Amino acid sequence: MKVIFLLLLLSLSSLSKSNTLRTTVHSIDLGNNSGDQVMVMLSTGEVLWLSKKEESLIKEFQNAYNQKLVLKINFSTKKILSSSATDFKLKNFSFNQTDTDPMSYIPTIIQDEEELKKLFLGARRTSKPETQCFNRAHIWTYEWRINHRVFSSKTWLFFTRKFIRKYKFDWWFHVAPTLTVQVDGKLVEKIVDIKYAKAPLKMKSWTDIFVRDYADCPVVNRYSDYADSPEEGSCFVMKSSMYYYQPIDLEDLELTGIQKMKWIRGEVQEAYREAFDTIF
Amino acid sequence: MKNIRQMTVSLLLLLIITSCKKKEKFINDLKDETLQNKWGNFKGKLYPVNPSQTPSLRGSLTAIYRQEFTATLRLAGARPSTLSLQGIHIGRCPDSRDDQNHDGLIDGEEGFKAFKEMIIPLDDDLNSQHMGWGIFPVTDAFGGYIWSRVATLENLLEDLRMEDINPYDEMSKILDKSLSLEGKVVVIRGINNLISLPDSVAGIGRLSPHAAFPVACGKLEKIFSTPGKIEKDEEISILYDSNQEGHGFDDDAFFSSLENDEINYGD
Repeated sequence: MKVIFLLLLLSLSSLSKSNTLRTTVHSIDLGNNSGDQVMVMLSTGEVLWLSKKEESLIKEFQNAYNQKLVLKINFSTKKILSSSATDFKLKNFSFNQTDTDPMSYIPTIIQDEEELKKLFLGARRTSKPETQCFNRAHIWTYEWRINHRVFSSKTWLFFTRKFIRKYKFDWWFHVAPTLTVQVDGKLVEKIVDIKYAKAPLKMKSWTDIFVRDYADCPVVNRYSDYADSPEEGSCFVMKSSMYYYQPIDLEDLELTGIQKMKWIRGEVQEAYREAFDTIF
Repeated sequence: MKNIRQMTVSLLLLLIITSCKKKEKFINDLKDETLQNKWGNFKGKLYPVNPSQTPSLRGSLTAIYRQEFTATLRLAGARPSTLSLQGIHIGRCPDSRDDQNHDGLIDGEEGFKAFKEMIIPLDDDLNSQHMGWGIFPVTDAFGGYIWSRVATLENLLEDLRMEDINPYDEMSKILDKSLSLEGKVVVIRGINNLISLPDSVAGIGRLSPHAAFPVACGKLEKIFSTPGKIEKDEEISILYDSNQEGHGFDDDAFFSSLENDEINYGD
């Protein structure tokens, strides 16, 4: 019995230590004061905290940021296990400034709260302890579309740098699916965060789970409104259609005017693999 | 020997008194309402100066100007791997009227006539104009970066009020004792050397045509409100029309042929 318990303990500790991530570096914040820690914001949403004394590691991350390298990182040891060149290419596009609404369609109206509950309870669960919010959100919205013909949307919660530093927060964004439901003849948006909530929530209740000072998060419709307000308030919210996979898509929309209007096979595959250990 | 010791002590005392007086003067400055009225959070939205070269360039400078001066610059959509000479200037952002030789581009010389002298180089050290000069951010593989530095207001103002020891460079000092950021412009210059520019494009001073090439500019304005709207969990107002559901998406085609949908999956 003791042996089984020990084995279980070992396997659990190895699970928690093997939190390797495959990601690019979204941005690096060296801090405003000499005592500040360096924040490495990863494209997957995590914030890696480094001491200024870890100069060589900071340089490695800066190099990866400049070259947009894809890194394999052990999150607990902050070690870069491997790096490879990204296969992204600079896009050729003609900029269309007028077409930058990330909500490219009218979402399906869920007829009542009972139907909403069914969608909530019927959503795929994962036994993996650590998964990425954007991967979970992508699969939940994808499967609602495939199995229930529902056009859903996503709500993005972005934390300001001021907030991240103040609370030494480990995330710079979070995302969850959103369904529009009819309640007493009125249309209400409910955030369906299956991992962090026991039921669909209204926006303020949902943001309060994460925003430690319970601040109201202004809703913006351009990524730059968040990115260019690093010291204003605690958080910002953005809404998009279900096809937007990562914050870079919202950034790209503003930069290029290109809307995401369909599922991208590689993204759905990656989301299934990372969040649900499922091959699509 | 005794004299030397006395002289050293006197010199030290003089230094301490001067430094204390300077500190006291600065503390008095901080109480000055004219200076305090100029404090605040400022934002300058960046736009391409030469849209033909960087059509999708976007970004902003956010400056927090109080007892400390913090500057954060976010740039996206510029040319990759380019040293970006960035600074706050006293003039205005150039526009098509400034293209004096009508070559369709605003070069370093033409741009400088509009944005004029630089007062705060956004380089590695904001505490002084000359320390940190030359150390500017380089755009990443996608033509962007996020850059941030901080200075104490005391150091920044002290340096800006000093005598201009080189009146021939492109930097100038401030004439009034308080610094106002309102209406100043942030300018980013520099385009990758691999980009071919016509012979009509001129540099300025020691800067080559590529290094002096203005790419982005934005006017600093005081921020009085945070962007966005607070939604108090109210009822949403979609003018719902079932025919519009999933507008922009061919629903029937999606379900009649999932295979077809899969074909469309790629970029």
